[in-house]
Amino acid sequence: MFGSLLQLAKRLLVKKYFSFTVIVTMSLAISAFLTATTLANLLLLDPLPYPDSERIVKVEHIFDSPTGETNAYTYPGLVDLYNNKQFFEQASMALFTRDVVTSLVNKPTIETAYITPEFFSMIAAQTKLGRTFSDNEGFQKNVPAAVISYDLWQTYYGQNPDIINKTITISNRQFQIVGVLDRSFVEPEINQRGQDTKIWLTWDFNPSVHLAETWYNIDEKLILLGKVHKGIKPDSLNESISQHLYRTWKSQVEGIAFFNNWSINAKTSKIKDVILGSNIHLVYLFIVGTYGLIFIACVNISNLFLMRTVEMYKPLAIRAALGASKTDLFKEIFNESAVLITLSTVLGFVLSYFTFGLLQQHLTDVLPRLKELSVNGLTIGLAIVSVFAFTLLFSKLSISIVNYKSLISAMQTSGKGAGIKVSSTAQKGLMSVQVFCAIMLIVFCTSVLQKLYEISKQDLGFNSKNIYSIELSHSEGEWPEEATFSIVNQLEQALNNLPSTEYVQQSASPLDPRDIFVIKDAHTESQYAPEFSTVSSEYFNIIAQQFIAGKAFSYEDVFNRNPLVIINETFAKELSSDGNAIGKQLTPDGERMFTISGIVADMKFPGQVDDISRMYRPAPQSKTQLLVKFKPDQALSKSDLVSITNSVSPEVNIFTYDSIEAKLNEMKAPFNIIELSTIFLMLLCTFLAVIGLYGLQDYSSRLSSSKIATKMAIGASPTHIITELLTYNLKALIVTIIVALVSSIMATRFIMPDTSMSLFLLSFITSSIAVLLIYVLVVIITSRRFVNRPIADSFNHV
Amino acid sequence: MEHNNDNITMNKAPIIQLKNISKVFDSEEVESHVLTGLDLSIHQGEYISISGPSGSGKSTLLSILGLLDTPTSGDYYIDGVKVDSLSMHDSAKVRNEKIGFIFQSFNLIDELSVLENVMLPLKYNANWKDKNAIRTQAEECLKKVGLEHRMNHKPNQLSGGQQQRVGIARALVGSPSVLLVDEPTGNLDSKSGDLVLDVLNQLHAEGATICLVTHDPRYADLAHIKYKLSDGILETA
Repeated sequence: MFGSLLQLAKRLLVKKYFSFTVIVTMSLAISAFLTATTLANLLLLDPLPYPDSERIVKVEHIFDSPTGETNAYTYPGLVDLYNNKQFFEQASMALFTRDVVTSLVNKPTIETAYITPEFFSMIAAQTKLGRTFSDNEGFQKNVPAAVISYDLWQTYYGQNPDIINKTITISNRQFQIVGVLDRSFVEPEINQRGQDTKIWLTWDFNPSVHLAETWYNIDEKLILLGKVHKGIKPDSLNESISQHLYRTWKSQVEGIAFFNNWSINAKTSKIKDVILGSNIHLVYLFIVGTYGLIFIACVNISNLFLMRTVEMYKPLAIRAALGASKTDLFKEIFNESAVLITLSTVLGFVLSYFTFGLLQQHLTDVLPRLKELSVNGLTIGLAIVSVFAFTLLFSKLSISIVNYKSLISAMQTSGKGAGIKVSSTAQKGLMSVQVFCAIMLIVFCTSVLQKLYEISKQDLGFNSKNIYSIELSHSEGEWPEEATFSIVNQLEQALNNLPSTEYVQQSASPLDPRDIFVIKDAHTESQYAPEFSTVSSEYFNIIAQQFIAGKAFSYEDVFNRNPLVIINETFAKELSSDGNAIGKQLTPDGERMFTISGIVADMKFPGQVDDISRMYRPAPQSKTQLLVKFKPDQALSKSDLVSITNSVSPEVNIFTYDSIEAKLNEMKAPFNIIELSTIFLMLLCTFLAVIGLYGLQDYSSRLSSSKIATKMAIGASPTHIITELLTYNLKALIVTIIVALVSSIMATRFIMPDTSMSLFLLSFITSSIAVLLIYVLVVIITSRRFVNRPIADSFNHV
Repeated sequence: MEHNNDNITMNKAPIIQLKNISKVFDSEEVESHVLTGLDLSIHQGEYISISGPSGSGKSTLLSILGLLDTPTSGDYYIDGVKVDSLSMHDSAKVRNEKIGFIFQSFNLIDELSVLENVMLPLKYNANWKDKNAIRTQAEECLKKVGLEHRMNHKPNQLSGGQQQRVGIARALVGSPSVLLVDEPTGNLDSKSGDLVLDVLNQLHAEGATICLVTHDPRYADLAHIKYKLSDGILETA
């Protein structure tokens, strides 16, 4: 047994090209198969790791106004729904944010969530130490308690087993740590993909609590999770919840004309759908792309195995002549395939393990549930099935071209190659499938790359170089109203005095999330809902956002909060078809009037396709955000900033200190990763196409060795032979390219309808030419075997 | 069998002339001298046979004669032109125009019809551009070997003897200077073999120059000039 294995290994070592190519290609293919299938199973089939997860829903609160839809709750609306017991068996309120934890070293800004106790009980969260929140720490109990993540416990507390009952300080409030979540805890990504909350806090201390009494303000951060009663379909609740929400809200805003024609729609979605999100097509594309690649790899390796069988013609014929049955010959081929596929599977399995790690490290913001991805029973099962399935597939395919009867007689005559034949239809079919898949994948990848290139080269409409945003927080949580201006002003002065500073002003970051401000044209009464932010006098100057008309706010405008607004180009065009909106008056309520004093060019965030209407007002004096522009090649470390801030007021903390450029790069990071993956996929696909076409052409020419030698013997020149070899598959190749053209047009229309036709055609023509060139090159290389050696040798070698 | 053109041809320059031809095969451990200092001349209209036991170098000699292989040393002339060091393209032209090859295993192209097989050498010949002329010429050759009624058949629909006669027609179609014949009856029963040799005799009678390689002394004796190849050395039998 060992001896024959050794012999087999030696034989495969002799066939280095064949063995290497099979192992490299199949290990990549099997790795892709294991990764894609484990991921597909996790995302599409595996239930969430929470009991009755099918019954857990997220309820969205959608305001339908004349200006469009806004997905956000009013605070009392959320509380009212939470308190209403008729719709859900259990409900929980949640708000995800970030907080400065002043009790930790360096006062880091950490991901936090404010929740009611039902949140943990709904998802059956397990703790490593202590417990989750109890009813005594629930809504309106005003008990400041915290549950920390395993990761935070490990990083900041060195896995201190006595952590329970210690306190953690946020906004000058001490929260008692009641539990540490178990390492296996999987946070539901209901707020954003890849979210990783480190500290869970009791609901009553959430930062939006000041909105508790107002029915006019909305907050996009407010979330309601519910567990529907058994047997109730989540969708069936939409209408009754909508009616309830609308009735309640309408009774509170009755008589306010502004809210005429407004309605509320509730949308309940299973949290699995919420977690998968609207980008689920990305997941499907990833999986389809990967399976496409696996398919190409299998076709390629089939070619190589066929070629190998052709090479094994003589030993097989001798064995057959000596009495080996067809089953014996099959065993011979099977053993060889088994060794190669087993090695490939082991390598593929190891590769998958590392791929899971890479995906978790880099794509958690792009693909959902990646934290749950790991080698599991399915992966191991698939690996075992892969060994048997691929071994059987390639062995069966190889033996299928062996004509046993002809093989036996082959040793008695000189009918070279008569016992092993691949029909020309099969050869052309294999080549067509390969070329088709390669062109489709390359065209698809090129279209994706084009989109990513546009994103990377997109003019964002503002400058981010050397610009930093600072957000301050106060140790007491609430800022002392009168002192705020003085503190922020002092800090502004201190920063301005630094030699490295070019500009510093009270202002929001251009990347901050914005509110929606519903406003009317005072003249036409038409309603609009632009995004809204407050800015300083130098804001547009600092970020170099161009003015199209009018001018920036003056210092006096900001100081006095003059009733002026600056709008962007898109909003100006909405207000006036010629874009000339300077001097127009806007009003939110018919009383306060804002005059448009400037129009700026549009700005975009990475990946943003459509232009968004935007409106800017002078920043209030109490603004606790600063925008700093440093001189070229100058910067300020966070620790220096903390020192400066402490010297101004020890009560003031740095909530965030971000380089705008770095934040933009962070926003671009997922696109960069997709770009790299796409390039890798395209290169891999091209590599496989080259190997496949080479393999196919190689064994096809080996099979025709005697025929080619005959033609050369009767006077065909090398040019004749190469021309014949080229034209042999040319018709099939051209038909395949036409089919690929039609298919890729249809696929592109379906998957990426906004791909430009000229670019699509360019990528299609380029990939088709590339495939044709590869084919020509492969034919020339494989035909060298005949044209560079004596013809007599070609008669003797198959 | 008649041989009435010996006296005429002896005075002319040979069609084929080998001078001091040697062929050595190098394998990893052994250097094998297959042909050693071999001289041979074949004149217009001659029918020569080369016989010898297996491994004597017959096939190697025929490969060199047919420009399917090159000698390790020595000179080879066809119609007075040195051909042992021609480019691949030029040697293809010589094979196409000067040599007709008849193989032991027929080597017909399975997917082509009998007629297409015979037309093939002319398709590689730049002087033959008229498709009708090519077809007529191929049909003529098939008539010569008595297979005009099978011209639309595929090779695998013919008997071994018929396939070999198609091979002969294909060798003849370009009106070559010499026919190189490699064990033409090796894959045939004796009756079919005899029929094939009758065709060769007929062709010789019509003026064809033939070089027959065989290990069968019975068929070797049919030629008018008989050589024996033994251990790489050619001797008159």
